[in-house]
Amino acid sequence: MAGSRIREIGIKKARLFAFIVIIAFLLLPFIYPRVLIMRTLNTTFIYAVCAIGWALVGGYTGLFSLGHSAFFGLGAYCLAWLYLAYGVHPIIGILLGIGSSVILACGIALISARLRGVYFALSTIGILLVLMYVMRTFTYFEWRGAPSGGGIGVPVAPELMLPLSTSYLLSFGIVLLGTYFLYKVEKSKFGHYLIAIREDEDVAASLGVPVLKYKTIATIISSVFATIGGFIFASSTFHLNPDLTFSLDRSIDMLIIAVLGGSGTFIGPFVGALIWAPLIEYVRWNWGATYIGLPKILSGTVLLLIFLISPTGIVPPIQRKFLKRKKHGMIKNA
Amino acid sequence: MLEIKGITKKFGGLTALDDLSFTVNKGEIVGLIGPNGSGKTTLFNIITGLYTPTTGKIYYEGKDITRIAPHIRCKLGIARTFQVPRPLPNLTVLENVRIGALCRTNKIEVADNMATEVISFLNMIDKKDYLPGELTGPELKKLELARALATQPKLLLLDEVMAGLTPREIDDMLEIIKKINKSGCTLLIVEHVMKAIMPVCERVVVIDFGKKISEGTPEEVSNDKKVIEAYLGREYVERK
Repeated sequence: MAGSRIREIGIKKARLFAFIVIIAFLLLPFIYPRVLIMRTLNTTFIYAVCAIGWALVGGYTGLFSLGHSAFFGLGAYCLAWLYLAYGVHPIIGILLGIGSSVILACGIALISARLRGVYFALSTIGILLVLMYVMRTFTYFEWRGAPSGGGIGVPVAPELMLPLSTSYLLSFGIVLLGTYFLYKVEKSKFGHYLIAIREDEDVAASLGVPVLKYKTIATIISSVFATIGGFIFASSTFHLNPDLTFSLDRSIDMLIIAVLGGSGTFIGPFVGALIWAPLIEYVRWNWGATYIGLPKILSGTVLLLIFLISPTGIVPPIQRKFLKRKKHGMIKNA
Repeated sequence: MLEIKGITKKFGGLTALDDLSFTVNKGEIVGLIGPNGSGKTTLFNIITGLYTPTTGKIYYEGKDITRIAPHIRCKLGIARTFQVPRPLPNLTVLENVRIGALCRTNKIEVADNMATEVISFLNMIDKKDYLPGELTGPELKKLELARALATQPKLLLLDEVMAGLTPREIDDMLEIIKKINKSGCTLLIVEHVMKAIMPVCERVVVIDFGKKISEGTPEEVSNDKKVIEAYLGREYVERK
Protein backbone atom coordinates (compact mmCIF):
# COMPACT_ATOMS: atom_id res chain seq x y z
CA MET A 1 0.00 0.00 0.00
CA ALA A 2 2.92 2.31 0.74
CA GLY A 3 3.96 1.92 -2.87
CA SER A 4 0.74 3.35 -4.20
CA ARG A 5 1.08 6.42 -1.95
CA ILE A 6 4.58 7.09 -3.17
CA ARG A 7 3.21 6.68 -6.66
CA GLU A 8 0.45 9.20 -6.04
CA ILE A 9 2.96 11.75 -4.75
CA GLY A 10 5.10 10.98 -7.80
CA ILE A 11 2.17 11.60 -10.12
CA LYS A 12 1.40 14.89 -8.38
CA LYS A 13 5.02 16.00 -8.75
CA ALA A 14 5.01 14.94 -12.39
CA ARG A 15 1.84 16.95 -13.01
CA LEU A 16 3.33 20.03 -11.37
CA PHE A 17 6.51 19.62 -13.41
CA ALA A 18 4.51 19.24 -16.64
CA PHE A 19 2.50 22.35 -15.76
CA ILE A 20 5.66 24.42 -15.21
CA VAL A 21 7.17 23.18 -18.48
CA ILE A 22 4.02 24.03 -20.43
CA ILE A 23 3.86 27.55 -18.95
CA ALA A 24 7.53 28.09 -19.68
CA PHE A 25 7.11 27.10 -23.33
CA LEU A 26 4.02 29.28 -23.65
CA LEU A 27 5.70 32.34 -22.16
CA LEU A 28 8.96 32.00 -24.06
CA PRO A 29 7.97 34.09 -27.12
CA PHE A 30 6.96 36.94 -24.80
CA ILE A 31 9.87 37.00 -22.36
CA TYR A 32 12.80 35.67 -24.38
CA PRO A 33 12.06 35.96 -28.11
CA ARG A 34 15.46 34.91 -29.47
CA VAL A 35 14.90 33.94 -33.11
CA LEU A 36 17.36 31.05 -33.10
CA ILE A 37 15.79 29.38 -30.06
CA MET A 38 12.23 29.94 -31.24
CA ARG A 39 13.05 28.65 -34.70
CA THR A 40 14.70 25.54 -33.30
CA LEU A 41 11.78 24.89 -30.97
CA ASN A 42 9.29 25.47 -33.78
CA THR A 43 11.10 22.84 -35.84
CA THR A 44 11.18 20.57 -32.80
CA PHE A 45 7.42 20.86 -32.37
CA ILE A 46 6.85 20.05 -36.04
CA TYR A 47 8.92 16.90 -35.53
CA ALA A 48 6.95 16.16 -32.36
CA VAL A 49 3.56 16.45 -34.08
CA CYS A 50 4.68 13.95 -36.71
CA ALA A 51 6.16 11.64 -34.10
CA ILE A 52 2.90 11.69 -32.14
CA GLY A 53 1.17 10.53 -35.30
CA TRP A 54 3.79 7.87 -35.88
CA ALA A 55 3.59 6.63 -32.27
CA LEU A 56 -0.13 5.95 -32.61
CA VAL A 57 0.53 3.56 -35.48
CA GLY A 58 4.07 2.38 -34.78
CA GLY A 59 4.06 2.41 -30.99
CA TYR A 60 0.54 1.43 -30.02
CA THR A 61 -0.76 -0.51 -33.01
CA GLY A 62 2.56 -2.13 -33.92
CA LEU A 63 2.45 -1.16 -37.59
CA PHE A 64 6.03 -0.24 -38.33
CA SER A 65 5.40 2.43 -40.95
CA LEU A 66 8.33 4.00 -42.75
CA GLY A 67 6.13 5.95 -45.11
CA HIS A 68 4.80 8.62 -42.81
CA SER A 69 6.66 11.43 -44.53
CA ALA A 70 4.31 10.85 -47.48
CA PHE A 71 1.52 12.37 -45.36
CA PHE A 72 3.86 15.16 -44.35
CA GLY A 73 4.71 15.88 -47.97
CA LEU A 74 1.09 15.74 -49.10
CA GLY A 75 0.23 18.29 -46.41
CA ALA A 76 3.06 20.65 -47.30
CA TYR A 77 2.49 20.47 -51.06
CA CYS A 78 -1.31 20.69 -50.90
CA LEU A 79 -1.03 23.86 -48.88
CA ALA A 80 1.93 25.60 -50.51
CA TRP A 81 2.04 24.32 -54.07
CA LEU A 82 -1.70 24.44 -54.78
CA TYR A 83 -1.72 28.04 -53.55
CA LEU A 84 1.29 28.99 -55.60
CA ALA A 85 0.20 27.22 -58.76
CA TYR A 86 -3.56 27.67 -58.82
CA GLY A 87 -4.26 30.17 -56.07
CA VAL A 88 -6.19 27.56 -54.11
CA HIS A 89 -7.32 29.09 -50.83
CA PRO A 90 -5.19 27.82 -47.90
CA ILE A 91 -8.21 26.42 -46.08
CA ILE A 92 -9.20 24.39 -49.14
CA GLY A 93 -5.56 23.38 -49.49
CA ILE A 94 -5.58 22.14 -45.91
CA LEU A 95 -8.78 20.18 -46.49
CA LEU A 96 -7.37 18.67 -49.68
CA GLY A 97 -4.16 17.78 -47.86
CA ILE A 98 -6.04 16.00 -45.10
CA GLY A 99 -8.33 14.37 -47.65
CA SER A 100 -5.49 12.96 -49.74
CA SER A 101 -3.67 11.76 -46.63
CA VAL A 102 -6.78 9.98 -45.38
CA ILE A 103 -7.15 8.20 -48.71
CA LEU A 104 -3.50 7.13 -48.61
CA ALA A 105 -3.92 6.06 -44.96
CA CYS A 106 -6.83 3.81 -45.91
CA GLY A 107 -4.64 2.23 -48.57
CA ILE A 108 -1.84 1.62 -46.08
CA ALA A 109 -4.30 0.13 -43.57
CA LEU A 110 -5.55 -2.24 -46.27
CA ILE A 111 -1.97 -3.30 -46.99
CA SER A 112 -1.50 -4.00 -43.28
CA ALA A 113 -4.39 -6.47 -43.49
CA ARG A 114 -2.35 -8.51 -45.95
CA LEU A 115 1.27 -7.95 -44.93
CA ARG A 116 2.77 -8.15 -41.48
CA GLY A 117 5.97 -7.05 -39.80
CA VAL A 118 8.91 -6.40 -42.07
CA TYR A 119 6.87 -6.87 -45.25
CA PHE A 120 4.49 -4.14 -44.17
CA ALA A 121 7.38 -1.80 -43.34
CA LEU A 122 8.95 -2.43 -46.75
CA SER A 123 5.69 -1.79 -48.56
CA THR A 124 5.33 1.59 -46.84
CA ILE A 125 8.84 2.51 -48.00
CA GLY A 126 7.72 1.48 -51.50
CA ILE A 127 4.72 3.80 -51.42
CA LEU A 128 6.85 6.66 -50.14
CA LEU A 129 9.54 6.21 -52.78
CA VAL A 130 6.99 6.08 -55.58
CA LEU A 131 5.47 9.35 -54.38
CA MET A 132 8.86 10.98 -53.93
CA TYR A 133 10.12 10.03 -57.39
CA VAL A 134 6.86 11.13 -58.97
CA MET A 135 7.30 14.52 -57.33
CA ARG A 136 10.96 14.62 -58.31
CA THR A 137 10.88 13.46 -61.93
CA PHE A 138 8.05 15.55 -63.25
CA THR A 139 10.28 18.56 -63.48
CA TYR A 140 8.23 21.57 -64.38
CA PHE A 141 5.35 19.26 -65.05
CA GLU A 142 2.95 21.74 -66.44
CA TRP A 143 -0.76 21.66 -66.17
CA ARG A 144 -2.48 24.87 -67.09
CA GLY A 145 0.91 26.47 -66.99
CA ALA A 146 1.64 25.74 -63.37
CA PRO A 147 5.05 24.31 -62.48
CA SER A 148 5.37 21.59 -59.88
CA GLY A 149 9.02 22.35 -59.42
CA GLY A 150 10.13 18.74 -59.73
CA GLY A 151 13.29 17.98 -57.84
CA ILE A 152 14.21 21.63 -57.50
CA GLY A 153 11.08 22.29 -55.53
CA VAL A 154 8.79 25.24 -55.23
CA PRO A 155 8.96 28.45 -53.25
CA VAL A 156 6.36 29.06 -50.58
CA ALA A 157 4.24 32.13 -51.20
CA PRO A 158 5.04 34.83 -48.64
CA GLU A 159 1.33 35.21 -47.82
CA LEU A 160 1.30 31.68 -46.41
CA MET A 161 4.18 32.31 -44.05
CA LEU A 162 3.18 32.62 -40.44
CA PRO A 163 5.06 34.97 -38.11
CA LEU A 164 7.54 32.93 -36.07
CA SER A 165 5.79 33.44 -32.74
CA THR A 166 2.41 32.46 -34.22
CA SER A 167 3.88 29.37 -35.83
CA TYR A 168 5.64 28.53 -32.57
CA LEU A 169 2.49 28.81 -30.46
CA LEU A 170 0.39 26.98 -33.04
CA SER A 171 2.78 24.05 -33.30
CA PHE A 172 3.21 23.88 -29.54
CA GLY A 173 -0.56 23.92 -29.10
CA ILE A 174 -0.93 21.00 -31.50
CA VAL A 175 1.82 19.09 -29.69
CA LEU A 176 -0.05 19.60 -26.41
CA LEU A 177 -3.32 18.50 -27.97
CA GLY A 178 -1.65 15.49 -29.55
CA THR A 179 0.02 14.46 -26.30
CA TYR A 180 -3.27 14.80 -24.45
CA PHE A 181 -4.93 12.77 -27.18
CA LEU A 182 -2.40 9.95 -26.73
CA TYR A 183 -2.94 10.14 -22.96
CA LYS A 184 -6.67 9.67 -23.49
CA VAL A 185 -6.08 6.87 -25.99
CA GLU A 186 -3.96 4.99 -23.46
CA LYS A 187 -6.85 5.01 -21.02
CA SER A 188 -9.56 4.08 -23.52
CA LYS A 189 -10.95 0.92 -25.04
CA PHE A 190 -9.61 2.14 -28.39
CA GLY A 191 -6.05 2.23 -27.02
CA HIS A 192 -6.39 -1.14 -25.33
CA TYR A 193 -7.54 -2.67 -28.59
CA LEU A 194 -4.66 -1.08 -30.51
CA ILE A 195 -2.19 -2.57 -28.03
CA ALA A 196 -3.90 -5.96 -28.31
CA ILE A 197 -3.46 -5.78 -32.09
CA ARG A 198 0.22 -4.91 -31.63
CA GLU A 199 0.76 -7.85 -29.31
CA ASP A 200 -0.99 -10.52 -31.39
CA GLU A 201 -3.46 -9.83 -34.19
CA ASP A 202 -5.01 -13.30 -34.30
CA VAL A 203 -5.54 -13.43 -30.56
CA ALA A 204 -6.99 -9.93 -30.62
CA ALA A 205 -9.47 -10.97 -33.31
CA SER A 206 -10.47 -14.05 -31.33
CA LEU A 207 -11.14 -11.79 -28.33
CA GLY A 208 -13.54 -9.64 -30.29
CA VAL A 209 -11.22 -6.89 -31.58
CA PRO A 210 -12.25 -5.68 -35.05
CA VAL A 211 -8.65 -5.63 -36.22
CA LEU A 212 -8.91 -4.00 -39.63
CA LYS A 213 -11.34 -1.33 -38.46
CA TYR A 214 -9.08 -0.27 -35.59
CA LYS A 215 -5.97 -0.35 -37.75
CA THR A 216 -7.71 1.86 -40.29
CA ILE A 217 -8.91 4.38 -37.71
CA ALA A 218 -5.46 4.52 -36.11
CA THR A 219 -3.72 5.00 -39.46
CA ILE A 220 -6.14 7.75 -40.47
CA ILE A 221 -5.71 9.70 -37.23
CA SER A 222 -1.98 9.19 -37.41
CA SER A 223 -1.84 10.45 -40.99
CA VAL A 224 -3.72 13.60 -40.03
CA PHE A 225 -1.06 14.43 -37.42
CA ALA A 226 1.75 13.99 -39.96
CA THR A 227 -0.20 16.08 -42.48
CA ILE A 228 -0.63 18.87 -39.94
CA GLY A 229 3.13 18.70 -39.39
CA GLY A 230 3.47 19.27 -43.14
CA PHE A 231 1.16 22.31 -43.03
CA ILE A 232 3.14 23.98 -40.26
CA PHE A 233 6.40 23.12 -41.99
CA ALA A 234 5.19 24.67 -45.24
CA SER A 235 4.06 27.84 -43.50
CA SER A 236 7.34 28.33 -41.67
CA THR A 237 9.79 27.80 -44.51
CA PHE A 238 10.65 29.53 -47.78
CA HIS A 239 11.03 26.60 -50.04
CA LEU A 240 9.74 23.04 -50.45
CA ASN A 241 11.23 20.16 -52.36
CA PRO A 242 10.52 16.42 -52.51
CA ASP A 243 13.79 15.54 -50.78
CA LEU A 244 12.88 17.65 -47.78
CA THR A 245 9.28 16.53 -47.47
CA PHE A 246 8.75 13.11 -49.07
CA SER A 247 12.07 11.81 -47.74
CA LEU A 248 12.79 8.53 -46.08
CA ASP A 249 15.01 10.45 -43.66
CA ARG A 250 12.00 12.30 -42.35
CA SER A 251 10.13 9.04 -41.77
CA ILE A 252 13.13 7.69 -39.93
CA ASP A 253 13.29 10.87 -37.83
CA MET A 254 9.68 10.28 -36.74
CA LEU A 255 10.56 6.70 -35.86
CA ILE A 256 13.71 7.66 -33.94
CA ILE A 257 11.89 10.36 -31.97
CA ALA A 258 9.03 8.09 -31.01
CA VAL A 259 11.27 5.15 -30.14
CA LEU A 260 13.83 7.31 -28.34
CA GLY A 261 11.17 8.89 -26.15
CA GLY A 262 9.23 5.67 -25.70
CA SER A 263 6.80 4.89 -28.47
CA GLY A 264 4.24 3.19 -26.27
CA THR A 265 3.96 6.16 -23.89
CA PHE A 266 1.93 9.30 -24.45
CA ILE A 267 4.72 11.70 -23.46
CA GLY A 268 7.42 9.79 -25.34
CA PRO A 269 7.16 11.53 -28.74
CA PHE A 270 7.39 14.97 -27.12
CA VAL A 271 10.38 14.04 -24.98
CA GLY A 272 12.05 12.33 -27.92
CA ALA A 273 11.55 15.37 -30.14
CA LEU A 274 13.05 17.73 -27.53
CA ILE A 275 16.21 15.63 -27.57
CA TRP A 276 16.50 14.50 -31.16
CA ALA A 277 15.25 17.44 -33.22
CA PRO A 278 17.71 20.12 -32.00
CA LEU A 279 20.57 17.63 -32.27
CA ILE A 280 19.88 16.44 -35.80
CA GLU A 281 19.01 19.94 -37.03
CA TYR A 282 22.29 21.27 -35.65
CA VAL A 283 24.27 18.50 -37.28
CA ARG A 284 22.47 18.91 -40.61
CA TRP A 285 22.92 22.67 -40.74
CA ASN A 286 26.53 22.79 -39.68
CA TRP A 287 28.08 19.61 -40.98
CA GLY A 288 25.48 18.17 -43.35
CA ALA A 289 27.14 19.72 -46.40
CA THR A 290 30.79 19.28 -45.45
CA TYR A 291 30.57 15.80 -44.00
CA ILE A 292 27.90 14.29 -46.21
CA GLY A 293 26.35 11.28 -44.54
CA LEU A 294 27.17 12.36 -40.99
CA PRO A 295 23.48 12.91 -40.06
CA LYS A 296 22.69 9.42 -41.33
CA ILE A 297 25.56 7.89 -39.40
CA LEU A 298 24.28 9.66 -36.30
CA SER A 299 20.72 8.42 -36.90
CA GLY A 300 21.87 4.86 -37.32
CA THR A 301 24.11 4.95 -34.27
CA VAL A 302 21.42 6.42 -32.05
CA LEU A 303 18.85 3.86 -33.18
CA LEU A 304 21.33 1.08 -32.46
CA LEU A 305 22.09 2.51 -29.02
CA ILE A 306 18.40 2.86 -28.10
CA PHE A 307 17.69 -0.74 -29.00
CA LEU A 308 20.76 -1.94 -27.11
CA ILE A 309 20.38 0.16 -23.95
CA SER A 310 16.66 0.72 -23.51
CA PRO A 311 14.44 -0.71 -26.23
CA THR A 312 11.42 0.87 -24.58
CA GLY A 313 12.94 4.34 -24.87
CA ILE A 314 13.74 6.98 -22.28
CA VAL A 315 10.38 7.54 -20.65
CA PRO A 316 9.48 4.08 -19.25
CA PRO A 317 12.63 3.72 -17.06
CA ILE A 318 12.09 7.24 -15.69
CA GLN A 319 8.44 6.50 -14.98
CA ARG A 320 9.48 3.40 -13.13
CA LYS A 321 12.03 5.26 -11.06
CA PHE A 322 10.05 8.33 -10.10
CA LEU A 323 6.47 7.20 -10.24
CA LYS A 324 7.12 3.76 -8.77
CA ARG A 325 4.99 2.60 -11.64
CA LYS A 326 5.04 -1.12 -11.80
CA LYS A 327 7.15 -2.39 -14.64
CA HIS A 328 4.04 -4.01 -15.98
CA GLY A 329 3.76 -6.82 -13.47
CA MET A 330 7.24 -6.81 -11.99
CA ILE A 331 6.51 -5.24 -8.59
CA LYS A 332 4.46 -7.75 -6.73
CA ASN A 333 1.88 -6.71 -4.16
CA ALA A 334 3.43 -3.28 -3.85
CA MET B 1 -26.13 -24.91 -31.08
CA LEU B 2 -23.19 -25.56 -33.37
CA GLU B 3 -23.63 -27.47 -36.56
CA ILE B 4 -20.68 -28.44 -38.72
CA LYS B 5 -21.79 -29.50 -42.17
CA GLY B 6 -19.49 -31.17 -44.66
CA ILE B 7 -16.42 -29.08 -43.85
CA THR B 8 -13.43 -29.67 -46.12
CA LYS B 9 -10.22 -27.70 -45.77
CA LYS B 10 -7.34 -28.07 -48.17
CA PHE B 11 -3.90 -26.52 -47.78
CA GLY B 12 -2.46 -26.89 -51.26
CA GLY B 13 -2.38 -30.62 -51.88
CA LEU B 14 -2.99 -31.53 -48.27
CA THR B 15 -6.52 -32.22 -47.16
CA ALA B 16 -6.61 -31.30 -43.48
CA LEU B 17 -10.35 -31.81 -43.05
CA ASP B 18 -12.38 -34.08 -45.28
CA ASP B 19 -16.17 -33.70 -45.39
CA LEU B 20 -16.49 -33.45 -41.62
CA SER B 21 -19.94 -33.13 -40.06
CA PHE B 22 -21.20 -33.21 -36.49
CA THR B 23 -23.29 -31.12 -34.14
CA VAL B 24 -22.90 -29.78 -30.62
CA ASN B 25 -26.11 -29.31 -28.66
CA LYS B 26 -26.78 -26.56 -26.16
CA GLY B 27 -25.39 -27.26 -22.69
CA GLU B 28 -23.31 -30.24 -23.77
CA ILE B 29 -19.66 -30.97 -23.20
CA VAL B 30 -18.38 -32.58 -26.36
CA GLY B 31 -14.91 -33.99 -26.69
CA LEU B 32 -13.05 -33.89 -29.96
CA ILE B 33 -10.16 -36.31 -30.06
CA GLY B 34 -7.79 -37.70 -32.59
CA PRO B 35 -4.10 -38.42 -33.12
CA ASN B 36 -1.58 -35.71 -33.90
CA GLY B 37 -2.24 -33.92 -37.16
CA SER B 38 -5.77 -35.23 -37.51
CA GLY B 39 -7.17 -31.73 -38.03
CA LYS B 40 -8.54 -30.81 -34.60
CA THR B 41 -6.90 -27.41 -34.38
CA THR B 42 -7.70 -26.68 -38.03
CA LEU B 43 -11.34 -27.26 -37.22
CA PHE B 44 -11.08 -24.82 -34.30
CA ASN B 45 -9.54 -22.23 -36.56
CA ILE B 46 -12.43 -22.68 -38.96
CA ILE B 47 -15.07 -22.43 -36.23
CA THR B 48 -13.50 -19.24 -34.84
CA GLY B 49 -12.92 -17.75 -38.28
CA LEU B 50 -9.14 -17.70 -38.59
CA TYR B 51 -9.51 -19.94 -41.65
CA THR B 52 -12.33 -20.19 -44.15
CA PRO B 53 -13.20 -23.75 -45.19
CA THR B 54 -12.69 -24.86 -48.79
CA THR B 55 -16.23 -26.24 -48.82
CA GLY B 56 -18.91 -26.80 -46.23
CA LYS B 57 -20.88 -24.64 -43.81
CA ILE B 58 -20.92 -23.84 -40.13
CA TYR B 59 -24.14 -22.94 -38.36
CA TYR B 60 -24.21 -21.34 -34.94
CA GLU B 61 -27.59 -20.96 -33.24
CA GLY B 62 -29.18 -21.61 -36.62
CA LYS B 63 -27.18 -18.89 -38.34
CA ASP B 64 -24.67 -19.47 -41.13
CA ILE B 65 -21.40 -18.10 -39.79
CA THR B 66 -19.05 -19.66 -42.36
CA ARG B 67 -17.83 -16.32 -43.72
CA ILE B 68 -18.25 -14.06 -40.70
CA ALA B 69 -15.18 -12.24 -39.32
CA PRO B 70 -13.56 -13.68 -36.15
CA HIS B 71 -14.37 -10.68 -33.93
CA ILE B 72 -18.07 -10.88 -34.76
CA ARG B 73 -18.09 -14.57 -33.85
CA CYS B 74 -16.63 -13.57 -30.50
CA LYS B 75 -19.43 -11.03 -30.04
CA LEU B 76 -21.93 -13.78 -30.91
CA GLY B 77 -20.51 -15.82 -28.05
CA ILE B 78 -17.85 -18.11 -29.47
CA ALA B 79 -14.54 -18.08 -27.61
CA ARG B 80 -11.48 -20.27 -27.86
CA THR B 81 -8.16 -20.98 -26.24
CA PHE B 82 -5.00 -21.57 -28.23
CA GLN B 83 -3.21 -24.91 -28.04
CA VAL B 84 0.16 -23.28 -27.58
CA PRO B 85 -0.64 -20.42 -25.18
CA ARG B 86 -0.51 -17.08 -26.96
CA PRO B 87 -0.58 -14.45 -24.22
CA LEU B 88 -0.21 -10.78 -25.16
CA PRO B 89 3.42 -10.76 -23.96
CA ASN B 90 3.85 -7.18 -22.71
CA LEU B 91 0.57 -7.05 -20.80
CA THR B 92 0.01 -8.36 -17.29
CA VAL B 93 -2.42 -11.16 -16.53
CA LEU B 94 -5.11 -8.64 -15.59
CA GLU B 95 -4.51 -6.58 -18.71
CA ASN B 96 -4.66 -9.69 -20.88
CA VAL B 97 -7.99 -10.72 -19.44
CA ARG B 98 -9.23 -7.13 -19.61
CA ILE B 99 -8.93 -7.19 -23.42
CA GLY B 100 -11.33 -10.13 -23.44
CA ALA B 101 -13.74 -8.40 -21.08
CA LEU B 102 -13.79 -5.26 -23.26
CA CYS B 103 -15.74 -7.35 -25.75
CA ARG B 104 -18.80 -6.85 -23.52
CA THR B 105 -18.29 -3.32 -22.23
CA ASN B 106 -16.78 -0.01 -23.28
CA LYS B 107 -15.67 1.05 -19.81
CA ILE B 108 -12.21 0.12 -18.59
CA GLU B 109 -13.29 -0.02 -14.91
CA VAL B 110 -16.19 -2.35 -15.67
CA ALA B 111 -13.88 -4.54 -17.75
CA ASP B 112 -11.40 -4.57 -14.85
CA ASN B 113 -14.05 -5.82 -12.47
CA MET B 114 -15.15 -8.49 -14.89
CA ALA B 115 -11.55 -9.55 -15.47
CA THR B 116 -10.80 -9.69 -11.74
CA GLU B 117 -13.86 -11.87 -11.22
CA VAL B 118 -12.72 -14.35 -13.86
CA ILE B 119 -9.16 -14.38 -12.52
CA SER B 120 -10.33 -15.13 -8.99
CA PHE B 121 -12.62 -17.85 -10.32
CA LEU B 122 -9.51 -19.52 -11.71
CA ASN B 123 -7.58 -18.98 -8.43
CA MET B 124 -5.01 -16.74 -10.05
CA ILE B 125 -5.72 -13.51 -8.21
CA ASP B 126 -2.24 -13.41 -6.64
CA LYS B 127 -0.75 -13.48 -10.13
CA LYS B 128 -2.82 -10.72 -11.62
CA ASP B 129 0.05 -8.25 -11.97
CA TYR B 130 2.52 -10.78 -13.37
CA LEU B 131 3.71 -10.71 -16.92
CA PRO B 132 3.09 -13.86 -19.00
CA GLY B 133 6.85 -14.45 -19.10
CA GLU B 134 6.82 -14.94 -15.33
CA LEU B 135 4.12 -17.60 -15.36
CA THR B 136 4.51 -21.37 -15.44
CA GLY B 137 3.12 -23.53 -18.22
CA PRO B 138 -0.07 -24.51 -16.41
CA GLU B 139 -0.65 -20.89 -15.39
CA LEU B 140 -0.37 -19.81 -19.01
CA LYS B 141 -3.04 -22.37 -19.89
CA LYS B 142 -5.24 -20.87 -17.20
CA LEU B 143 -4.57 -17.40 -18.57
CA GLU B 144 -5.76 -18.59 -21.97
CA LEU B 145 -8.90 -19.90 -20.34
CA ALA B 146 -9.42 -16.73 -18.31
CA ARG B 147 -9.16 -14.52 -21.36
CA ALA B 148 -11.67 -16.64 -23.26
CA LEU B 149 -14.06 -16.70 -20.30
CA ALA B 150 -13.89 -12.94 -19.96
CA THR B 151 -15.59 -12.59 -23.34
CA GLN B 152 -18.61 -14.29 -21.70
CA PRO B 153 -18.95 -17.06 -24.27
CA LYS B 154 -21.97 -19.24 -24.90
CA LEU B 155 -19.80 -21.74 -26.74
CA LEU B 156 -16.28 -22.28 -25.48
CA LEU B 157 -13.68 -24.14 -27.52
CA LEU B 158 -10.83 -25.50 -25.45
CA ASP B 159 -7.73 -26.59 -27.34
CA GLU B 160 -5.74 -29.02 -25.20
CA VAL B 161 -5.97 -27.05 -21.97
CA MET B 162 -4.94 -30.14 -20.06
CA ALA B 163 -1.84 -31.13 -21.99
CA GLY B 164 1.24 -30.94 -19.80
CA LEU B 165 -0.65 -30.74 -16.52
CA THR B 166 -0.01 -33.04 -13.57
CA PRO B 167 -2.84 -35.40 -12.55
CA ARG B 168 -3.75 -33.09 -9.68
CA GLU B 169 -3.85 -30.07 -11.94
CA ILE B 170 -5.98 -32.03 -14.39
CA ASP B 171 -8.48 -32.72 -11.62
CA ASP B 172 -8.61 -29.01 -10.79
CA MET B 173 -9.11 -28.16 -14.43
CA LEU B 174 -11.90 -30.73 -14.77
CA GLU B 175 -13.65 -29.14 -11.79
CA ILE B 176 -13.34 -25.74 -13.44
CA ILE B 177 -14.69 -27.11 -16.72
CA LYS B 178 -17.68 -28.62 -14.94
CA LYS B 179 -18.37 -25.31 -13.22
CA ILE B 180 -18.16 -23.41 -16.51
CA ASN B 181 -20.59 -25.87 -18.05
CA LYS B 182 -23.00 -25.54 -15.12
CA SER B 183 -23.09 -21.78 -15.59
CA GLY B 184 -24.73 -22.45 -18.96
CA CYS B 185 -21.78 -22.56 -21.34
CA THR B 186 -21.54 -25.21 -24.02
CA LEU B 187 -18.08 -26.70 -24.44
CA LEU B 188 -16.20 -28.33 -27.26
CA ILE B 189 -12.93 -29.73 -25.96
CA VAL B 190 -10.03 -30.86 -28.07
CA GLU B 191 -7.83 -33.23 -26.21
CA HIS B 192 -4.99 -35.46 -27.13
CA VAL B 193 -5.13 -37.48 -23.96
CA MET B 194 -8.40 -39.42 -24.00
CA LYS B 195 -8.28 -40.25 -20.34
CA ALA B 196 -8.35 -36.60 -19.37
CA ILE B 197 -11.71 -35.77 -20.88
CA MET B 198 -13.55 -39.05 -20.51
CA PRO B 199 -14.94 -38.14 -17.07
CA VAL B 200 -16.58 -34.88 -18.18
CA CYS B 201 -17.67 -35.47 -21.75
CA GLU B 202 -21.14 -36.68 -22.55
CA ARG B 203 -20.23 -37.28 -26.14
CA VAL B 204 -16.98 -37.74 -27.99
CA VAL B 205 -16.20 -37.24 -31.67
CA VAL B 206 -13.07 -38.92 -32.99
CA ILE B 207 -11.35 -37.72 -36.14
CA ASP B 208 -8.40 -39.09 -38.03
CA PHE B 209 -6.84 -37.65 -41.20
CA GLY B 210 -9.61 -35.04 -41.20
CA LYS B 211 -12.43 -37.60 -41.26
CA LYS B 212 -14.86 -38.47 -38.52
CA ILE B 213 -14.21 -42.10 -37.66
CA SER B 214 -16.37 -42.49 -34.59
CA GLU B 215 -18.90 -40.72 -32.41
CA GLY B 216 -20.65 -41.70 -29.20
CA THR B 217 -20.32 -41.88 -25.43
CA PRO B 218 -16.77 -42.15 -24.08
CA GLU B 219 -17.22 -45.92 -23.47
CA GLU B 220 -18.53 -46.61 -26.95
CA VAL B 221 -15.77 -44.68 -28.54
CA SER B 222 -12.95 -46.19 -26.55
CA ASN B 223 -14.08 -49.68 -27.58
CA ASP B 224 -14.45 -48.76 -31.23
CA LYS B 225 -12.03 -50.75 -33.39
CA LYS B 226 -11.46 -47.85 -35.76
CA VAL B 227 -10.44 -45.61 -32.88
CA ILE B 228 -7.99 -48.13 -31.48
CA GLU B 229 -6.62 -48.59 -34.96
CA ALA B 230 -6.12 -44.84 -35.38
CA TYR B 231 -4.29 -44.54 -32.12
CA LEU B 232 -2.33 -47.78 -31.98
CA GLY B 233 -2.15 -48.94 -35.58
CA ARG B 234 -3.87 -51.68 -37.55
CA GLU B 235 -1.49 -54.40 -36.41
CA TYR B 236 -2.57 -53.93 -32.84
CA VAL B 237 -6.23 -54.47 -33.76
CA GLU B 238 -5.54 -57.50 -35.93
CA ARG B 239 -3.42 -59.17 -33.30
CA LYS B 240 -6.25 -58.78 -30.83
